[in-house]
Amino acid sequence: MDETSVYRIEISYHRPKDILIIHLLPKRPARLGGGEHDFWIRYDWDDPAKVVGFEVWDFSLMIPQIYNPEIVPGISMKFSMSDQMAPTYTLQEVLEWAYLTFVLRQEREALVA
Amino acid sequence: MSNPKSIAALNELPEALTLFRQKLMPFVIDARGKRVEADLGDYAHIILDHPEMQSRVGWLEATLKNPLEIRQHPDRNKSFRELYINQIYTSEEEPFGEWHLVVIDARPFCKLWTSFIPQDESYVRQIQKRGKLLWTRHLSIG
Repeated sequence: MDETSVYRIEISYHRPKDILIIHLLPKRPARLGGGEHDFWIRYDWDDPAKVVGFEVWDFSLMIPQIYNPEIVPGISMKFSMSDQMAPTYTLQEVLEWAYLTFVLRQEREALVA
Repeated sequence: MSNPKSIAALNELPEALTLFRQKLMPFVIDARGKRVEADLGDYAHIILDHPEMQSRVGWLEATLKNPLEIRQHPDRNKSFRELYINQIYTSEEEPFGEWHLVVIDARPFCKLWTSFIPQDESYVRQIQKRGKLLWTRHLSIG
């Protein structure tokens, strides 16, 4: 995996399951590796050394530990969530953004409603 | 009585939703005789968000109905999760199966939660070592 490249990603969060999936685009078939602490790496089906995404089970419970390298491994890849001119993010920053967007903001909206 | 080998052919991508509805919704009776519920939210997560599963809808039914083992999640904080561990063959002639796991949430009733294909055997061995055995195919073959 080229650590100087910026990878465009697509993020989906399944609220009833509390599962977050990050796909490096384009989305590809993958097998899952890791998983000891419910943090999974998606490895390309045809090229098992190539990372093509991440999957986090019980995402909201994991958030306090995303800077613990035993839980979320240190990955030096950079990610972009929109076009090429957009800022780039570390994996931990993407996870924080997802938590703010999918978990906290929706909880707050539910409270206001 | 369970079958000795789980065989599930690949499907065409446009068939995925129809097959999911036919085979899994609103519920499947698993190897233990328990009802495992599934809905379109499960389809959205398991099939649409996992490109590798779009041609493997039948694997979900095969693993729920005829797994090698069912084990409790080894983390006691997640003991309500149950893992169906299986090896799937796409035909009778295929010599090597592919590991496939289905996870259900058994709190308060059995509900499909997720499914995945591990990269290697290490996770399966870890679950087999640490997760309480709830059911095994070997004891049920009469």
